Amino acid sequence: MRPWAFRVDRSLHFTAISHTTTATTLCIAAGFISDDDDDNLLRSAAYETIGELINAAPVDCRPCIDAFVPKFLERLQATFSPDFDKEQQNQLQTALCCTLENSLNVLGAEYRPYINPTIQLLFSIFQSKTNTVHEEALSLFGALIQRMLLCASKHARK
Amino acid sequence: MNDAIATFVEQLSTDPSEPVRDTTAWTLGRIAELHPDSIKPVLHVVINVLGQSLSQPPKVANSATWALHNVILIFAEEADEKTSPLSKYFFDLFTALLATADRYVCV
Repeated sequence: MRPWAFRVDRSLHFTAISHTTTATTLCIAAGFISDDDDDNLLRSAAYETIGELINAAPVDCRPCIDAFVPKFLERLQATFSPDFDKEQQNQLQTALCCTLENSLNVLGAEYRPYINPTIQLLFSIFQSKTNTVHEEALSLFGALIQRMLLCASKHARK
Repeated sequence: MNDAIATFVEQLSTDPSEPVRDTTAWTLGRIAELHPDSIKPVLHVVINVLGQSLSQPPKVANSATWALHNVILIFAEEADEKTSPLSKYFFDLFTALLATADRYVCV
């Protein structure tokens, strides 16, 4: 049995995770959830909190986010390694697509140097056959297109 | 409330029982969610203890992560400001959370 709070997406709220904490403990006691699921929950929770941290970033913290975007891209690239099992790959790609979208929304035009590498990685994701990741990847792709159109219209006006 | 927070902070960093630390981190998260104004004066202590708890066993770390999430939400409305009380902790929180996300993954 997999707790529904396992999946990372923008609609997931930590309140929900907190409410399942006791239930999760009971499920582990009953043998339904392994320690691996605990680790997976923690990873999802950490990325969700990173996303919230990015969203709450004031102007003076934006250079820090800018510095971390290449690290997120590196991590996304690393998920294509055969060392990852399918489940772990799905989870990480979903979380990283969400994080990159948060970064894009906060950085705006400053995200421009990362647009090409992000699109290349998204194409690699689209070639895989995982519906869960596709939802997040499409959302990031849409945000990228929106950003590019905004840049293009600014240039056209000039 | 301040006394209670001080007790929870102490318990989270020193209690030998993992379930107690887990519940304490969760309680700090609930305080941040329901009484955000009581967290603001003790932000430094709360962020420090929750940040340190990220390296604890997964259940405690998960509750600490959730608590941090709620602490961060307190300052979500200040996102467009030049600076916020979070600025001071931003880099360290970012690094600690990323390390937590990578705990069981070699990337």
